Amino acid sequence: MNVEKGKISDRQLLFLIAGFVQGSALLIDFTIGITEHQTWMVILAGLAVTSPFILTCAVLAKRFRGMNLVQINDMVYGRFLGKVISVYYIFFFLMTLSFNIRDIGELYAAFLTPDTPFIFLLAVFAATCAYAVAKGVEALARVSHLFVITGIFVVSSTFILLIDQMEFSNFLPMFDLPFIRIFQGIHIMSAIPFGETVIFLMITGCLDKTGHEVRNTFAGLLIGAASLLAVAVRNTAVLGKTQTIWTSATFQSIRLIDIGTVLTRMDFLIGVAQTVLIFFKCCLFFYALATAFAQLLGLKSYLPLVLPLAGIEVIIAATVFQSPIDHASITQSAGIIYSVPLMFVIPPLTLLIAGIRGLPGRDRGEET
Amino acid sequence: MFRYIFKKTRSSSLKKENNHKLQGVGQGNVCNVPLSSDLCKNLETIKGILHDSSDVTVHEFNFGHDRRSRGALVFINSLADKNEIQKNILQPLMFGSLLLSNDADMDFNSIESIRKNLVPIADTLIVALLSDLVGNLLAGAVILLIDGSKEALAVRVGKGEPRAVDEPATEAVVRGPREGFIEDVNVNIALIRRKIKVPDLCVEKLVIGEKSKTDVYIIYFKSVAAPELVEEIRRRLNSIKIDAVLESGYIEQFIEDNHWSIFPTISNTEKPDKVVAKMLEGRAAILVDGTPFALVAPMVFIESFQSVEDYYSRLFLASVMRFVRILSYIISALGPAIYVALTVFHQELIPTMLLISIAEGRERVPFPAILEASLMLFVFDILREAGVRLPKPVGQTVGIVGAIVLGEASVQAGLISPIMVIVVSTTAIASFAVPAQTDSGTILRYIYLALAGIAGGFGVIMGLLVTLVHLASLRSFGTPYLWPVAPLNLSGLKDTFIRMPLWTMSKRLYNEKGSDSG
Repeated sequence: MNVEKGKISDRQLLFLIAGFVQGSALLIDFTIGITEHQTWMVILAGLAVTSPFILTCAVLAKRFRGMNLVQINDMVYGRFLGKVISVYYIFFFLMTLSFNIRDIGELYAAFLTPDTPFIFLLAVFAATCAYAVAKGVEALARVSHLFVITGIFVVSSTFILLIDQMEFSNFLPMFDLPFIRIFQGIHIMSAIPFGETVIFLMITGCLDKTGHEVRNTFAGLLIGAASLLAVAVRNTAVLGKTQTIWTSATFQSIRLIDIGTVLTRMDFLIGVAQTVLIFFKCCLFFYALATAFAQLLGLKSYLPLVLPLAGIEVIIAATVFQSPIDHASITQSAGIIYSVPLMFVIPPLTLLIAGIRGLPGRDRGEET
Repeated sequence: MFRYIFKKTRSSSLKKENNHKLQGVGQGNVCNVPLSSDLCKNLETIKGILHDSSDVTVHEFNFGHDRRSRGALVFINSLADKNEIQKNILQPLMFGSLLLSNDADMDFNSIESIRKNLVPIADTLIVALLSDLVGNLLAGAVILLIDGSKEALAVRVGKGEPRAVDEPATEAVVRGPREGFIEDVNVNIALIRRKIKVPDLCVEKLVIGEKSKTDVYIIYFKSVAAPELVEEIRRRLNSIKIDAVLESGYIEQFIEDNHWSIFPTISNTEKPDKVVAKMLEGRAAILVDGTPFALVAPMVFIESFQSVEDYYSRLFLASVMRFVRILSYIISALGPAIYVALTVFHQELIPTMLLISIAEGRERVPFPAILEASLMLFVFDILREAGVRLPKPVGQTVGIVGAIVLGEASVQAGLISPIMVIVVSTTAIASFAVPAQTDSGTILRYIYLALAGIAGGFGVIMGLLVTLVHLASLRSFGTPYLWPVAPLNLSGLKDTFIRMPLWTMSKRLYNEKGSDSG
């Protein structure tokens, strides 16, 4: 029995994925220090590397219609091993969500409201996410395109407003960075904005009509990737080599907007857009976490778990890193390692085993 | 201990209440007996049920061949028209019956025969049960009882003219029909029927209210409205258990989808043309006797920003005005909050010259910006409430004295900064641009203000996100409240932020039930 009764359309899935990937735009800053002016290449390479694995997830969703990740794991790996793998996924959801909640706290503490207590920012943000998650996947899906349009509007408008300050020679020389740094950048890109879409295996079970999920998954992914690419290109073209010295290259580039001394301080616009997009991403992570946990515990509804999980998230987010520098360095190096099997090993393996065993088969109803 | 005593007392009083209610039901059952053929007995029973009420007239008379038949008229003085009774009931019975004395087919002991031959009124009903008799009597009918007949005739001769059809006070228009609904539901139905002359228009009657027995009508176009919508409205109306329905607001609160939301999910209007336009889109109207406000369901958020005039005027101005209304709503909800967030938390976002002006204005003000804004908004709400309740000329005076004199004096005294007066005045004016969302705008204004005071821009953004998700989660009779924006429906967008030409809007959107699939 699925813990979610709401239904979404495959077009809404497209916007959910696009908004989710856009929500990682702020995290490009983690990569810029490593890949400098070649960040745009890394984004494209990351997309290319991740695409087969995302295709695997989409095929899994199509094969196991109406089922979520926990149910698929139970069916493919058996009750015990399936649950172990699901716990691993839940740990990933829990930690990644707390990192993202911390991101928003750091954004405000560093740039917008430095005097507001950090824990207060985290608590308010987590409570807002909890409210949205409690309203169900249908409510989030209905407004998904609004978040995507907001993201596209902000990226395109800032791009246009900064065109006069762009210097395209900043992209040269190409291929001058050591391969190991490019590889690390591709790894970050694959694991964070694109690989994290594995959480949609907790949502695809809610699709009311199936058929276009693979096409729409990739369409959403491309919209998100295009937004990230535009951000990376804008930052590099505007800031050049200096982009690596700023805490946030995105904020610094937007601060340079000055149209007739009237349109200035546009960084607040970025702050608002980032808040909205990270909120959307966090809601989806939170939803995946709550439903996966409820499914694992055999609950009828995930709602009783929402508030306790929000509390846990705030505690983890507040204590997991010592400082924003600590956050960035751990995310760049160690933080993404544990998530690799969940994105690049387990889904293909699941598909392979399901293919060999002929799952879900006709007796799907009995097994679930 | 106290809790135990309180529980005991409460349980005892509840028992008493229940016993009382059961006795009432018992009396009601007495009414559900057939009428007797004995006139005197029937009259005694009716007097007993009505407790010999002084406004009930019982007029006994003789009629027919040699005046050997006995009859009685029972009516409530205040509800029945005595001239009509005299001219169309008593005269034909007492004098016209003499002419029919020799007619072999005429039976003076048969209500059916009397109705056919002696009562020249179309709106009559033969009743055989005491409950029906009393119900019709209390609704204003004149009851004719004949000795020897187990039936009675209810003749509807209503007293008094209803209020004239006039321009609605709350929805005045520059261009468009000037007629508005009145308190008489039959006149309101007639106003709708005059606009659409098709047999497809269905009018279903329900009676709601244990004591008021109010007539409630569901009106819709059979071929346009979704059957599930009409069935759902019928089901919700039938489930209402209430003593009296005194206004359509009672019905609205019983059948709305989310009782705990600040956003209305059923629209109301006084304008027949608006109701017809909405019904042609696939919605259903609910008319309640005794109120000029019709309810229309389902309602979507964007229709709060639409006016009937948008469709009567050319599309360019209509689209601009719609944009102005949307902007006004945003200002009315967010104006003071943004001011407080900027002046308290994000001064760096304000251009330097403006910041200096604001700082100069606030130099003598002893209150923090949040308190200053809250006080001003509260005073504005007092003025608005006083202005509405007072007689019109006095209300206007209060408005002028309040807005100009009080505002000016507060600034002079250094209690309020001039910029705050501008912010609150703009907010106040903007709040009247969207009457359908005035309630939600007022509540949101205070909520956002509090969030801005606590957490600045971050608080406001969180408030907006919660509002957005809440709006997205709402449904009105199965239709998502944010439709056609969320879920996205491109056909529906033709009449959303801008109004496309009428010839492009050929689809009936609300009978598609705005599914999530868009």
